[in-house]
Amino acid sequence: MMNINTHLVTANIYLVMLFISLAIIFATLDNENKRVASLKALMTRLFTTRTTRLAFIMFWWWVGIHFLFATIHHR
Amino acid sequence: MQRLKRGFSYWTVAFLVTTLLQFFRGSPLDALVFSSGTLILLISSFYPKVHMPGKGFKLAATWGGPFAFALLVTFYLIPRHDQWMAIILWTLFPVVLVLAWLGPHRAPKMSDPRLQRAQHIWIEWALIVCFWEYAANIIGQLAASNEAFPTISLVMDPLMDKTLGKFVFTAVWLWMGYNLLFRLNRGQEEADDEH
Repeated sequence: MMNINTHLVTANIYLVMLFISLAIIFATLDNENKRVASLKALMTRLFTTRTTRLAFIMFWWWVGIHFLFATIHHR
Repeated sequence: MQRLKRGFSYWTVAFLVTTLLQFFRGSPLDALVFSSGTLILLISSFYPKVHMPGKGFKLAATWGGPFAFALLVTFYLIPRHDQWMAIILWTLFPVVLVLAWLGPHRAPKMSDPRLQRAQHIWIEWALIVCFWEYAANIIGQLAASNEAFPTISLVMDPLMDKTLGKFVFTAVWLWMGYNLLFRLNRGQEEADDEH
């Protein structure tokens, strides 16, 4: 039976997800794409609502405290 | 993101679900942050809007860059998990919250189909990423080991323990924060009644 390293597969899928995200960002970066607006144009539109701003900024802050201060438990 | 109905946002639901997940995985700090976030989003949905004068916002943006650089140096010098890290970050929390709260409220309609398509793509993509991350999290809780299906945190943790890893993360994180607070969150002259 084939022994699959699930840790490696899961971690590499995150990496693939990162590359796909970057591909979408760069494909629309100049906002010249006829079908899809750039991420910056979308974010600028979304940031006109307070709830969206608060949600993004609180999530951003949590990422900071999570990685810089909190202890991540490995089991 | 669309509102479910006036005064209530899908963001509140997203934060509530994440709060429940943090309780499930037994992480009190994260549960505190996300439950506070849920409460703040609920308050934001019903509280009358307050606007920051353009001048005040420009002043904050002027000092935002040098302040972010000072934070980068400070975080580089302070060891990870140090209590000073928590003190500085918790002090920062109300500041960024106020800047986010008081930002512009002018909301043009999402009439451009390009924007609508971009929104659909990013929401669907974010849901896929969240599903994978949450699934890894839940499987890790149910299994004896969380290393078999690691979360993003577990994958990044060893990198963050390295000086270069921590420095790169902090620089990118502060750059994103500066952009979120001051580049996308620019003051505008008019305001409407959208939350």
